[in-house]
Amino acid sequence: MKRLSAFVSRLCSWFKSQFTSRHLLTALIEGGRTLIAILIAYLVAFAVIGFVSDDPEMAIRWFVFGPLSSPTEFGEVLKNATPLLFAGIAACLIIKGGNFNMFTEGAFYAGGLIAALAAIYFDLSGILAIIIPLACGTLAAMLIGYIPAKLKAKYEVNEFVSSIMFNFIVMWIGVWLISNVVIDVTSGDNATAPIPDASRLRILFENTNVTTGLLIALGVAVVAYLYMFRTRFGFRLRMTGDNKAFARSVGIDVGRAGVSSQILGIGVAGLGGGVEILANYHRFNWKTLPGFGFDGFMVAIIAKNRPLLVPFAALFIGYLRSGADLMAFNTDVAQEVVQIIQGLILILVASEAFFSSAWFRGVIAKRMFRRKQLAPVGGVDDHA
Amino acid sequence: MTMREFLQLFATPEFYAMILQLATPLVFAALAALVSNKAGVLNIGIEGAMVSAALAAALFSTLTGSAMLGVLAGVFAGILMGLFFAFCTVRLRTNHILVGIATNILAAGLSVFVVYAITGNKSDYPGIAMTPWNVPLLKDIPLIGEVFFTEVNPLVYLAIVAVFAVRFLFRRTVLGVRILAVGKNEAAAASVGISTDRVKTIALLIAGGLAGFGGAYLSLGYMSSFNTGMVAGRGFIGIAAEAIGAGNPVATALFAVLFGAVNAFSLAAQTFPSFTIPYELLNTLPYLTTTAGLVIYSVIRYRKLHPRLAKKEIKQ
Repeated sequence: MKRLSAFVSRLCSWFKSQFTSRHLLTALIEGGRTLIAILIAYLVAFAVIGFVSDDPEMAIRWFVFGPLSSPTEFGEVLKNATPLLFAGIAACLIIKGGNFNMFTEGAFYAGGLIAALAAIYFDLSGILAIIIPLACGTLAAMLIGYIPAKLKAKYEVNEFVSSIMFNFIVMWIGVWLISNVVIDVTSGDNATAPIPDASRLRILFENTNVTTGLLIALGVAVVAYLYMFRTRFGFRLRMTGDNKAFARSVGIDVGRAGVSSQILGIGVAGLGGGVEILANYHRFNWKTLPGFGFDGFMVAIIAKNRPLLVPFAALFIGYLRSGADLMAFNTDVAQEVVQIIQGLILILVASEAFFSSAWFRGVIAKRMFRRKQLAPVGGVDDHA
Repeated sequence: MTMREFLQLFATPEFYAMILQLATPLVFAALAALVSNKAGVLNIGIEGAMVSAALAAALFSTLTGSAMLGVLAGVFAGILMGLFFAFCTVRLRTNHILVGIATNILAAGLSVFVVYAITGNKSDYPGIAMTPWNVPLLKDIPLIGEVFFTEVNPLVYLAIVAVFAVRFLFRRTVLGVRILAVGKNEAAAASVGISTDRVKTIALLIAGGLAGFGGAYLSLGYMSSFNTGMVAGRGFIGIAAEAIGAGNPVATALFAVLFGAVNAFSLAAQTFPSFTIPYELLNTLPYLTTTAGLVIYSVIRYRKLHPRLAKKEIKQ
């Protein structure tokens, strides 16, 4: 009982600290900025749709309201959001550690392929039929991802370029595997044998495609939050990402912190790949990279790199995607319009100067200087 | 593949002509990476700039009926992407890498979207290929004439010119020196009166233009259509070549040619029926060599740096 009350009071003080006026104001400004960014991106997208479509009103209606029109359609939103949630958490871990390791993309591919193969060839039953393939996929992704991460930590090999090369290498090896080695010729496609039913993730709600994968994803988000903000490892990780030199000087092993953040992120992405395959595919048949890795970075940026906000960002992008799919299915507009929105949101949300207080100050300062006909020293824009 | 066939491959002028073809876009991409890197910007958007340039080139070549105008449109598209990148990094102060990712997402999406809106399919758009040049007299030289002067796309020559133009830019022009100064130390450059924002923007525009040539070459020189996914990481390979070339335009271009050669080998080896390695694995070769090159370069740099660091520590 005593413990419980102590816990409750701690919880209360935590909430208080989260919602002091200063925090709240920052949160409001940040949230407002994100909303404005989304609004601008939407306006651009509507303009583009209006430009190319014969019936723009219909297209926009499908795009905006389609995903909310029925429980089945909303189920598609959740289904689309699930891999994005994994990818977003993965990107959070990697960005917070101060790296831009793009292998999350290849990790999705490798995780999915290995999970499918483990499910097919181990042929387990019960809960193990799901846990073991997912674990195999995660571990395989982590093992490959260890190479660019370690190379970065040890020899400062640019992790961005090397991880992108790794993506292509993993993809081509995977394509080779599914078209030569583990190919099931009865499928009429370059694909693996069917994934056994015991390994397929269960549907959560009737008449939808939402699987238990969503629950796994949410669990991962909570665990990632606890790891990053409630353990010393997470503290080291964030310190290293924020200021490497400072972290080194206070005795943090920055190499290890960087590697572990990348490995964990890649592991999450590998798990996401496994979940995606076991939830939505009868066979593994990916012939290109799925693109979730890059999307994950966008989700993480929209969520301000906070694991607990990632589900909301993923839900939003999932909603965009399902809307675009419905629009492409029912009208003459391609769903790639989503990528235009995503790119714009990413830039506007990530920009330091867009509607920031510094930006306002800059604008005001410029006005004042212009009135006095004085040139500012060093330029007013140099607030960096 | 027997040893003999293997050697035969290296003896054919077609193989070397193929290297030229495959190296050209990589050289442009690497030079683009170099110019932006000198200004202190890691420009990942090169890939996206190449995609949009390739599409714009194909679009305008069929629209105007002239391949040359198509190339110009491609370069213009590249410069526009450079402008966009510059606006985001310089004005909006967004992280370079995030802008790069966003540019690539935008370009990939926009290109498919545009192709679909015009043709109703999502994969390709036809373009008018540039007429290759046959240099009179020189093309009669055995081997060299066949490789360098017979049926060669003009942009191949332009790539060679561009290497030395970039070298000239950084060695002999005021703008080049300013770019170097901004890249080395922005605050110091600003303190002597250089408008760092403007210099950075100009550098990014030049990079965009170079990437634009690379993209236009892909859709109007190497092929005669725009295909989605045709850039296939060439922008990133260019960035890697620049990293290994350590900021030297000639070395950068040579590494780009090396990666082009590996790419040519992986394609040429696929045409040998007796060669048993499947094409999927051969396709990994360019990426594998790029990674290997990057790692070797980084290890050498690390070894070079570290004895000095160790000595310094002992002195203190």
